[in-house]
Amino acid sequence: MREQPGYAGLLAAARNVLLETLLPHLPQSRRYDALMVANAMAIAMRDAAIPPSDEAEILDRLRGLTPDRAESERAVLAVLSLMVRDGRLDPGTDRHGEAMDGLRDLARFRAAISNPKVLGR
Amino acid sequence: MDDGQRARLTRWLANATMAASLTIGASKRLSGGAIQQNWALDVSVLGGAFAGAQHWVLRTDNPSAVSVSHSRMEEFALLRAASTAGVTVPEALFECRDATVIGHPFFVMRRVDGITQGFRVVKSDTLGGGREALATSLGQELARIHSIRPPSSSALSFLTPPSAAGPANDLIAFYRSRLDAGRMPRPILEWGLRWLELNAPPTGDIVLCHRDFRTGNFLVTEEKVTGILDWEFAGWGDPLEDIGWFCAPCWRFGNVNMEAGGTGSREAFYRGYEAESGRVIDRARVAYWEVMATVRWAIIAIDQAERHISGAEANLELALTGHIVPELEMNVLAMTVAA
Repeated sequence: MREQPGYAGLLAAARNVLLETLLPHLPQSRRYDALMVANAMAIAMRDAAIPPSDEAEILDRLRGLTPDRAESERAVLAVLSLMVRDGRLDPGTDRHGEAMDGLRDLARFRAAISNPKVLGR
Repeated sequence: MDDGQRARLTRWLANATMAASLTIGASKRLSGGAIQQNWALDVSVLGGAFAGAQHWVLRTDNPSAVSVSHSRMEEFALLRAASTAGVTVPEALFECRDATVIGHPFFVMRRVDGITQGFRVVKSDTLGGGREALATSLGQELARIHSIRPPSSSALSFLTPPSAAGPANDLIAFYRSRLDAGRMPRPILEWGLRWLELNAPPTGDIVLCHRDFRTGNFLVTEEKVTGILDWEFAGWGDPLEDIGWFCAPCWRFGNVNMEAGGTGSREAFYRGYEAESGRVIDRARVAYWEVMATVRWAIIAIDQAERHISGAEANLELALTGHIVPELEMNVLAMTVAA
């Protein structure tokens, strides 16, 4: 129902104007600010582009580690955090490997939005 | 600085220098940390021990100063203690506890030549006498900092000694309390802290740790290191905490192959440290403290983003600092989970 281009398309177009049209004319002292704005827009664009199903899938894997399949995202992360802190997912426990895989997927998911360069390393 | 501040500061400095008269010529706000304000002052002094043209830095608090860092008075005492131990620091000249002069307590130190910017330092092949020479000198400086041991002079009595649990466990407990105060649960950082708890080393030496000894916090010229800066987090701890912070991958400003803070080789840094201290660095144990460093930086980054998110300080740079955390989480996992 919404007009196009939407969120992602507008951000991309605006970011291009910033980098190609504005940045070359900014004084050296303002370059850093402009690059920060461009970075913020790129993060927002990646955030907007994540398929909800990807996020739901990772959350569900993490949910599976919690004893009562905690409901909300916040509850899953909170219960998992507590379990980790209490040692219930320590090396040597049944589900340690699965937990580490889940945390790795969570880390990669977050990095894909915030700083995808680190995924290549 | 407004006219009132300038006038009061002029009078205060004239008193402090016992000058017949004193004029503040130029004053310029220096780009500083998030916690303090630094002002470059060019001062003309008539009479007294400081007669002549003086180039100073005045250091005071930002209005939004964070409580975990030391007061300016404490930082002044740390600079003095460091200088006595032979650490290269700007000379700390005067301290002012009276908040009515410019609005906050402050101190004045001599201005020192050099650059600090991390990205510039790590790109240079020549600063500090060259990469290996720079890394070696930084090792020497850190060793001198670590020569300061408790109990020390009463001037440093404000520093909290580690508890019976030891410095590693104290830090773990503190970082857990920071996560508890945060707005989002953080299972990956919790794992980092659990790993640190499970692998905590026995308590060894307790020394003065700078706690932010890294590229970006020292001044360097083409010839040498000219000042170790930013002492507001210093405290008693395990010397490897500082070594881990300096060598951690997250503090190389992108120059990942130069393991000594993006400057030179780790071995050159260790050589400088070992030669100056007369002690050998337990190389295997440094890896533990690099994990500690990565978790700590993540928690600081979360706090900085929170200042923006909470509305306390709307600032894009703070907001973007939160987005450093995912990379740090990946580092933590890489360092703590067998592939």
